[in-house]
Amino acid sequence: MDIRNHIISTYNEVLSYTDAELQVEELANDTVLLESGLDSLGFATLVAELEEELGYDPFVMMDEPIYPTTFGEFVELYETYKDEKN
Amino acid sequence: MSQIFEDSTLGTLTWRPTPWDEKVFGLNTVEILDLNCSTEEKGGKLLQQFQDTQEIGLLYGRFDASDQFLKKVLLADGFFQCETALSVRKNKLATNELPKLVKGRELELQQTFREGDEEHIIEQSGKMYNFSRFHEDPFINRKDADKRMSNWARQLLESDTPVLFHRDKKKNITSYLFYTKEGSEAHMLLGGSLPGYGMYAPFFFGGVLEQFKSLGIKAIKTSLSAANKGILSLYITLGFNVTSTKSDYHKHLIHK
Repeated sequence: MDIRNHIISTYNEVLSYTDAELQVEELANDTVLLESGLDSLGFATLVAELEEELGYDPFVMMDEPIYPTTFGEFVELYETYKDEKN
Repeated sequence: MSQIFEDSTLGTLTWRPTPWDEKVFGLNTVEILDLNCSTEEKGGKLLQQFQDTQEIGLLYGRFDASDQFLKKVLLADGFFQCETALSVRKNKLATNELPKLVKGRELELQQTFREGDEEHIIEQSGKMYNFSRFHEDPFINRKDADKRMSNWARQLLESDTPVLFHRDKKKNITSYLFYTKEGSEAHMLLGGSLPGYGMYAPFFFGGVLEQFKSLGIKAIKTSLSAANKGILSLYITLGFNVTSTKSDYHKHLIHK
């Protein structure tokens, strides 16, 4: 599974066990994270789950803080740091 | 400064003028701090007498949510209930371990401003809050409620209230928190994440807890709206306990 699909799958899992609902038709690149359905705690859960599944956390790895505000930027961040985990 | 309105047969009403709110709303605002009366009827009469002697545009007060007596007196007089405010507290910070969701991801915080930071905080404070005693009053327009938050941030900056904040790669402030420290207890006054950065609030507050710990703070208290379920869930996850619940009652005597 590529990173994008992995993130979508994990996102949906977190939505279901935090009793939240997707607030947009689909997770598109321009979907604003905070308007997508997960609240900030749900988002922290997503980041923690992704670390367990993918084996890395870009938010810990980055030297200078970057904060994606859209789903596309979020995926891009994980794609950027994919190679650095090794 | 609080003042007392008294009627020997009806009871006492403690109140204060709130010029900071008058400035925003453009009408006379008064906050009731306490109401002592033996019966609902006396309470109603005391409130009426008080309103007759003052030129009030907006009257409000925050009282224990379980006080049914006061609730009845206020509702019967034409007040309605707005925000439900929760006081929360976290003890034993010295031995606190951040929850797994946050640990290792807490944001690095700063305390020294650069040129333009203060104006940026004031401006953004007028855009980042959805919950407050006035945001949750449907008869107050959003713009005024926003302006009040912005004015509050300005007043905190002018009085040199301690602040913690985080910057992103572009050096923009993404989150801030004003607080006061009394002994080994911190009171979080006003803070949060700027528009677009709300998702990172858990990591910011993780940083705040660690910073407070390093400052020797042992307990933290704050209050929030019960309607703000996102931040309430976060505080609970971070180990805060609810210590009191208050209802905010408003009465508009002049509608703008």
